[in-house]
Amino acid sequence: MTSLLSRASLRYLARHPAQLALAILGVALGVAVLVGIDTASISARRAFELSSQALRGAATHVLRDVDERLYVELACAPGAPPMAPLVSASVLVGSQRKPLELLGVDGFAEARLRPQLSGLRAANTLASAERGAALAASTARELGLELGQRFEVVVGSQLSTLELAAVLEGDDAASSAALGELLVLDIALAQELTGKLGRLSRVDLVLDERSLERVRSLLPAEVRLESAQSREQSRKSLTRAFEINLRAMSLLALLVGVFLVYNTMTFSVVQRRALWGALRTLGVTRGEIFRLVCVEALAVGALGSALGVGLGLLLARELVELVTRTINDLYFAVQVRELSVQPAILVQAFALGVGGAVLAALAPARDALSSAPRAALSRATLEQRWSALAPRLCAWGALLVLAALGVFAWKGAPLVLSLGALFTLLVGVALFVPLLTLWASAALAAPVGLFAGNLGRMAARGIAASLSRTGVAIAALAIALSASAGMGVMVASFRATVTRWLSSTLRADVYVSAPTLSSINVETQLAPALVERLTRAPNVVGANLYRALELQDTREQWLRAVAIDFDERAHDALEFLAGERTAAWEQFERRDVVFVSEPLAARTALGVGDSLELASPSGPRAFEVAAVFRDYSTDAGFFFLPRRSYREHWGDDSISSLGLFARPGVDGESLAAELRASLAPGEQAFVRSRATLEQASLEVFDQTFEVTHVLRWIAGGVAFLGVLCALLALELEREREFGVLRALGLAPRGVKQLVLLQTGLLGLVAGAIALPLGLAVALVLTRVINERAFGWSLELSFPPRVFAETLAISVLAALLAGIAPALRMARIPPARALRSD
Amino acid sequence: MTRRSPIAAALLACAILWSCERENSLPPASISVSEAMSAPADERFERAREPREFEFPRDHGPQPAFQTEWWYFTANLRAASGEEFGCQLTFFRRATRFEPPPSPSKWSARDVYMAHFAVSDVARGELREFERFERGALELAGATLEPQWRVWNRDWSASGSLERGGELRLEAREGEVALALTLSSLTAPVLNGERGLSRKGAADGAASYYYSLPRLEARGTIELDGRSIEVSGRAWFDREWSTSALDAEQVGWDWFALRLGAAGELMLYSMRRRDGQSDEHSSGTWIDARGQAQPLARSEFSIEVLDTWTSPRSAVRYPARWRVRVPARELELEVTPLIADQELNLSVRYWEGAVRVQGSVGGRRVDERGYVELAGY
Repeated sequence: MTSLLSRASLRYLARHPAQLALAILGVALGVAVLVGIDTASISARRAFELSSQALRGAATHVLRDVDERLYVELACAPGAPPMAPLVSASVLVGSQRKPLELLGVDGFAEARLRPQLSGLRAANTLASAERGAALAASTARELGLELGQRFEVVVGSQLSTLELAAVLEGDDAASSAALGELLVLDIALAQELTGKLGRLSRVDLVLDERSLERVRSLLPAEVRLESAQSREQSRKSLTRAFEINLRAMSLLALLVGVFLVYNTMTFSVVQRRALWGALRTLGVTRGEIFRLVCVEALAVGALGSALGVGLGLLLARELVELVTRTINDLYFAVQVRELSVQPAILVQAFALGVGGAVLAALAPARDALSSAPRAALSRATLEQRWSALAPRLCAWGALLVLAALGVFAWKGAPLVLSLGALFTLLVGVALFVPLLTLWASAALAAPVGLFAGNLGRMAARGIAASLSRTGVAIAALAIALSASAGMGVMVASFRATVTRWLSSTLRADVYVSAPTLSSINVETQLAPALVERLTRAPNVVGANLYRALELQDTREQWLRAVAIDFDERAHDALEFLAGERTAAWEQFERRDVVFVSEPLAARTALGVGDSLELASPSGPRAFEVAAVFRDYSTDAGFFFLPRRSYREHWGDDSISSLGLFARPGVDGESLAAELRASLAPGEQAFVRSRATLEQASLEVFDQTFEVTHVLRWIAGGVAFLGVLCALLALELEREREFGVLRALGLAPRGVKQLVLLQTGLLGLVAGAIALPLGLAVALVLTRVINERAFGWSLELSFPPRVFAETLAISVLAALLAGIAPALRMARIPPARALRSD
Repeated sequence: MTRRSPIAAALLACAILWSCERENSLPPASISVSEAMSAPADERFERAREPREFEFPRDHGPQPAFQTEWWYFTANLRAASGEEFGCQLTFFRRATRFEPPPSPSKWSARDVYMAHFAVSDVARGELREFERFERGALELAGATLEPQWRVWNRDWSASGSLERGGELRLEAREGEVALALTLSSLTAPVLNGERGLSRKGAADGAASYYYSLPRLEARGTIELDGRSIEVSGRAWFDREWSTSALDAEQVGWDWFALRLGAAGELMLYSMRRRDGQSDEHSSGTWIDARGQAQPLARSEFSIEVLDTWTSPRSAVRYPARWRVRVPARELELEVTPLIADQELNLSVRYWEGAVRVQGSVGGRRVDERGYVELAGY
C-alpha cells in the first residue's frame, strides 16, 4: 500500500511541476538569503580576525604609546621575553591615495615575534635603503608600482616620497590579507615621517606567566600592560548589533518562503482529497497519509534548502562587498579576500529550511486526515471550515500580537528577544488575515460591482469563497510588503533624522582634516604649523579643535573619544538629551568631565553624574559624565572630553581636525577655496565647506543601507513568488468553475478579466493590510530595535512615497502573478475543464 | 691568516637580507659566502694593508673605520662531576654604510650587530645554538671601551678587562640555556700572521688585523634546562677587523684552535678553494709555553681528513676527524669531535664544536681539548 501511495504522490507532483517548482524556489530563496547574509558577515568577521591574528603574531600583550627608551630597557633586561617595537599611522599611498596602515618595524625584532609574516623580515633591507618602503605584492600591483619605483605617501597632512624597496609575500592567505593593508617602513623612517620621534605606538610582547610578572615589575606604574587582543575584541563587539540585524532580515525572507511551502502543501492536500478519500476507503490509514504529506514537505524543504545553500553562496559573493563596505565605513578597516564558508552555517540554514517546510506542512497534513473518508472529497467542506476557523485564528493572532507588544514595552529586553517579538507580531497579524479577507471580500463586492458588474462581484466574493488559498496568499504578500515598507520607513526616518542632526551639529563653516578616506580613522593628524596658519587666517574668526582618538577605560575597553576645544559659537550645536546645558558647559570648561553620545550611553549604561575612569599615561583618571548628547555619527558611540584635560593627562598636543568659523559676510565655500589655495606644496588636507561635508556624510549613510535595500528586494521577490504560487493553485482548482462559466457563455476575455480582477483585488487587500502593518514594523524598528541595537533614538517620519510604493507593488505583483493563470484559464476549452472533475 | 673574516661578513650580509630565515628554507650559506662577500665596500672604509702598531686596551674596542669586526670566545669546560661542555659566544659588527644615515630618529643605525651563542653538552651529545641581530642603536647592541671594555647584544655581553691577569665576564641567556663565565688571560695578546696583519688573498687590502688570547682561565656556571652547573676550564678569544672581500675562488675554510698542554697552543687555518685545494694563504700560529707566537706557513703543516659526518638536517657532509702534522715541531695529533653533530643551523649554517686533541708533541703525550670551525660546506 505504501508503494502505491508514494507512486500516487510522485505522479501527482509530476503533474504539477510549476507548483512544486515555486515552492522549492520559495524555500531556496529564503535559505539563500540566510546563507548569503551569514556567510558574508562571517567572512568579514573572519577576515578581520585572521588579519588581526596575523598582525598580532605570537604577541600576547601590548604596551601602547610608550617612550622608546622603555623598550630598550625591557628588551635588554636579562632573559627578556620576545618583543617588538612598532610605530604606526594611517596613511594614503600612491597617486590613488589608497588608505593603508603605515607600520614602522624593526625587522630583527619582527623575526622573533611574527615569523609567519616572513614578509616583514624583508623590512631588514629597509633599514639600509634610504626612504625605502615595502608593500604586499598585491598592493604594489594594484597601485601599479614596481621595485625601485618612487611613490607618494600622505602622512597626516604631509606629502612625502618613498621608494618601493621590497615586495612582501604572505606565507598564507591570512598573512597576505594582513600584509595587503600595510605600508611597511623601517622604524626610524616611520618615526621621522610621523613625527613621533622618541615614541613607539606599540610594543608587542610574547609573555608567559613568569615573564609577565618580570615585565610588570620593570614597568613604571603609569604604563599599562594590556592583552594583545583587547582592542580587537572591543572592535569586534561593535559589529554585533549590525550582524544580528542582518540576520533578522534574512530570517524574514525565510519566513516568507515558509508561507510559500504552507501554501503549496495545503493546495496539494486539497487537490488530492478525492484521491485520498478513495484510498482511505481502500484501507490506507490516516497515519500513512499524514506521513506522506510530511515526507513530501520534507522533500520540498530538502530540495529547496539544498538549492538555497548553493544560491546563498553565490549571493554571499555579492553581499560580502556591501557588508564589508558598511563595516569599513562604520566600524573598522577590513579587507575580505575570500569567503569563509562555514559548514555549521550551511547545515543550520538547511535545517531551518527543511524544518520550516515540515512545520508549514503540519496543518495541511492534519487537515488531510481529520476529515472522514467521504467528506474529504468535498472541497466546500474545507472552505467552510476555514470560514469557521477565521475568528479562532484571529484570537490566536491577537494573543501573539499582545505578547509581542509586551516585549516591546519591556525596556530591558535583549535585542534578540525584541527581534523575535517583531516576528511574532508579523505572524500574529498574518493570523488576522483570513477574517480580514472575509470582511474585505464582503465589503468590496458592492463597490467593485458598481463599475465591473457581475464579474466584479464574482471576483470579490470569489476571494472569500476560496479563503484557504487567498488567505495565505494575502498573508504572505502582506507580511513581505509590510516588512519591506517598515524597513523603508525606518531608513527614511533615519536619513531624515541624520540630515536634521547634521545641519544642527555642523556649525562651523569650513572643516579641515588630514586626508583620509575613512570616517573612522582616528590616527591621522594635522601638522601643527598648518593648524596654526589656518586658525589664524584673516577670514577665520574662531575654531573648534578636535583630536579624535581611542582611549581605554580601566576595564580594558577601548572607547572612541574626541578631545575638543569648542568655540563658543558651537556650544548650541550639541543637543543634550540629559544634563543641564549651562552647568554642563561650565564644567566642560573647567573640570575633568565628559559628554557622552547617546549610543555610548546606551551601550555602557553611563548616565549624567556617573564616573568614567580612563587609563591615562599618568595613571587612572576619573571623568564625570556631565551630559548625554544626540549623535548619529557612529553607533559605536564616543565621548567628548576637554582638550585641556587631554593635553594635561595624556601629554599630547596634536590635532586631527578643525572646524573653522568664517568672518561674517564670508561664505563657507569661498573660505574653503581660499584656505585650500593657502596650502603649501607638500601639505595635504581635506578642506571642506559645511555643505560638502554634509553631503559626504549622507553619501556614507546611503552606502551603509545598501544591504538593507538588497534584502528588501529579495523579501519582495519571495513574496511575489508566494502570490504567484497561491494564484496558480487557486485558478487551477477553479478550472471546473471556469468551465461552467464558459459553458454559460462567458467569453475567454471575460475569464481573463475575472481572474485579473480577482488577483488585483487580492493585491489591494494585501496592500491595505501591509500599510498599517508596515507602519507598525517601522515604529518597532525605529523605536525599539534601533534603540536596543544601536542606542539611537530616531524621529519617525512617514514618506508618502514608501506607502504609495507599497500599495502599487502589492497590486502590481498580484496582477503580474495573475497573468499566467488568467491566460491559462482562458485558453482551456470549457469541455475539458468540465471533464476534469 | 684571516680566519673568520669571510664567515662574519657573510653572516652579516645574510643577516641583513635574510634575518632568521629559520623555519622552512635552508639557510643560504653557500650563496652568501661567494655572493655576499663579493659585494664591493664603500671606498672610504679603511683596509688592512700593512702591519700596524697594536695598542691595548684601545684595540680591544670598536674599529668603526673598518666595515667588519668581531669578538669571538670559545671555551672547553668541565664540571666537578666530570661532565664536559663546550661553549661559544661571538659578537659581530658590520657597517651597512659608511656614514650614519641622515635621520633624526635614534633608531637609524649604521651598524648591524649579530651574536651567536652555543653550548655543547658532551654527556648528552647535544648542541644548543642561538642567534641574535640588533641594530647598533639606542644601546640595543654595541661595543665600547669606556668606562670599561664591553661588547653586547641586548643581554648577551662580554665586559671587563682583557689584560693579562685581568677579569672579564661573559654572560648570555636564551630560554633555558644560560652561561655566566669569568675569564682571565694568562698571556698577552698573540698577534697572528705578519705582526697581526692576516693576509687572506692576493688582492690589495684582502687582509685583516687579527690577534688572539689563546689561554684564558675560565670558571663560572652553565644553566641547562633548570640545572645550574659549576664549571671551569680554558677559553680562547679571537679578535679581528677588516674591510675585505673574499676571493671568487675561495669557498670556505677549516680552522683549528688546539691546546697542547704544557707545550702551548696551535692555531691552524686552511682556506679551501673551489677546486678543493688548500689556498696558499692558509697558515697557522704556534704559541709556545711562554705565550710567544711563531707564524706557520702553508708548507709547514698538513691536515689529513680521516673521517666524515653527514648532517641529518642539511645533508651536508663535513670532515669529522683529522690527522694534523707539524713535522718541525715533532707534532702529530688526531683531532676528534666530542660530539659529531655540532652543526649550527642559524642564518648561516656552519659547524663549530669542541674537539678532543690526542697525540704527541716533541715526544710528549698530549690529551687535550680544542675547538674547530668548518665553514662553506
